Amino acid sequence: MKQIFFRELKANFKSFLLWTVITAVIIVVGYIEYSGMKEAGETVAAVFGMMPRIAKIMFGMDDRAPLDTPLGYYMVMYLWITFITFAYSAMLGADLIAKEERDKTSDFLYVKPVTRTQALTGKFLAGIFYCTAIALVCVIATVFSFVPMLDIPFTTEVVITHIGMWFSQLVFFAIGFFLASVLHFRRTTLAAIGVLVVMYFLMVFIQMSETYSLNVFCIFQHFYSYDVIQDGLNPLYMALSAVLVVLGYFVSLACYRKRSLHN
Amino acid sequence: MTNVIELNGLTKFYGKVKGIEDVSFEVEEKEVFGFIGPNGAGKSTTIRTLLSLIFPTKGSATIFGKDCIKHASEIAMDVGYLPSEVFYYDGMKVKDLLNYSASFFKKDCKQKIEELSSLLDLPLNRKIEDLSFGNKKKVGIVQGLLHSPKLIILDEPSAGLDPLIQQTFFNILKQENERGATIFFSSHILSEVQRMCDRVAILKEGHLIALQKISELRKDSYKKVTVSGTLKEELDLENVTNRQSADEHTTFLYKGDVRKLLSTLAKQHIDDILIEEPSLEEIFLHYYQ
Repeated sequence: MKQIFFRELKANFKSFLLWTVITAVIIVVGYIEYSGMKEAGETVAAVFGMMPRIAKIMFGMDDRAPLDTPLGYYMVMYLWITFITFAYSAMLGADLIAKEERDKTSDFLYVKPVTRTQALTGKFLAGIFYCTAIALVCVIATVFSFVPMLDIPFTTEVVITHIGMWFSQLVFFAIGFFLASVLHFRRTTLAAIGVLVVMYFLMVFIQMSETYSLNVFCIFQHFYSYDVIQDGLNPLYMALSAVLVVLGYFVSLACYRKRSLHN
Repeated sequence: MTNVIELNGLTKFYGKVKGIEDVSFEVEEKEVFGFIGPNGAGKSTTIRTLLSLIFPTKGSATIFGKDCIKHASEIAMDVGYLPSEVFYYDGMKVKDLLNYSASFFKKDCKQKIEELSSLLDLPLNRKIEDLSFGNKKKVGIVQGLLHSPKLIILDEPSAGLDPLIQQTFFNILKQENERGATIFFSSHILSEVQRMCDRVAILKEGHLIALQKISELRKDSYKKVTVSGTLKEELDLENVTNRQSADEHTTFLYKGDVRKLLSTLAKQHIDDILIEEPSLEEIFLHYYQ
């Protein structure tokens, strides 16, 4: 298991680096734009304010926090950063399992004296490592690019919302991992991205229709930035995320142990 | 002699498509066992089931007396496998892949890796993606044998190897066998099975149709008969197969009493006759008719 963990760290390092660099650049460039937004002040805020409600929701805007305020701007950026890190996590989960059949290396790995449980555990832990690492890079990039521009302390808000993002990232990772354990390897990445897109539109639907009772079914709503900043992380959703991650791991193991591996 | 592999009514269906059905045989310790059949006969299905990559629909199989599905990882400690097509992690260097492979076994494999790599002239510092098919196959051989397994499972092993390396490879296998390893050798190239194996199982359309010693298979009173002259279409003989005629020459396989063959042929207008041992290929074709 140990060697599979380290092998996966090495094998996925380049892709991690690529995603991380792109995400960090988006964060830094995105927050530099904030100074322009602040200077333009109410004019820009008014223009964005005239957008249809659905467009505002899709872009992560909230009338409770206008775009020219630190919170309002942060919420828009945060939605897109979470979208990127969720996509990375879901695809990583799917790829860690699917690639062995796709690259036909399953005939190498799974005839070695290692159980499928051990192999998948090594892969799962490597995935969690990279999900955590990209979340940390996001926090650091935000704290160093955005917080210094502000007149108010904002580091706590950044850290706490990113903890929420990390929980949801792991849920998407577990979903990708599970999908790869049951689906044909050609369909896993698409299915994982499909779940992400469905969750995003469910978020839009919930906010649009204000049916917040559906929040429990929508990963984007579990740690909605405005709510997290106002009320802190919801322990119920933290527990639910942890349960989903653990469940995803065990169900994936159960399914993959019975899976026929074809070359 | 203890059995290293035992198959008991092993059956695998892919949905409604038959892979293998009711295959039973045993492979004894230290034996070199041939497993032959054309493409699609079910050889790889049998091997993949033995290795627990796929699961049987019915029946069971044991390796070293342990169920090959329930105790797969335990069994794998003493099994070396060379698949017919070799695929490894492209970004890795050969030596990294071999070290990664060795890390799964609780023993020091360094010396064996060096020994085998030098015998096969394998470039250890090159990336897998830059290797030719033949060199990838060599990687497969080394990774399959580096832990000195008690059972070596080979699926069409010589494909892609040039004749010189094939010779080296067969010598390595011979040494492994002398060391005590059992070899399960799947192939459709009969000459190599003939050269290597003690016994052979013949698979046809997912069914085991023969299980014999190589020597018996040849001796089993099959004769290849070549006759020059004019032969009647219908000979008064049973067990004549593979009959082929060209110009005034007729060849066929005959199984039975040679005296009866001679007395029947003596009544024909023949100029010459040649009776010889058939090659395994010819016997094999007979099974497939």
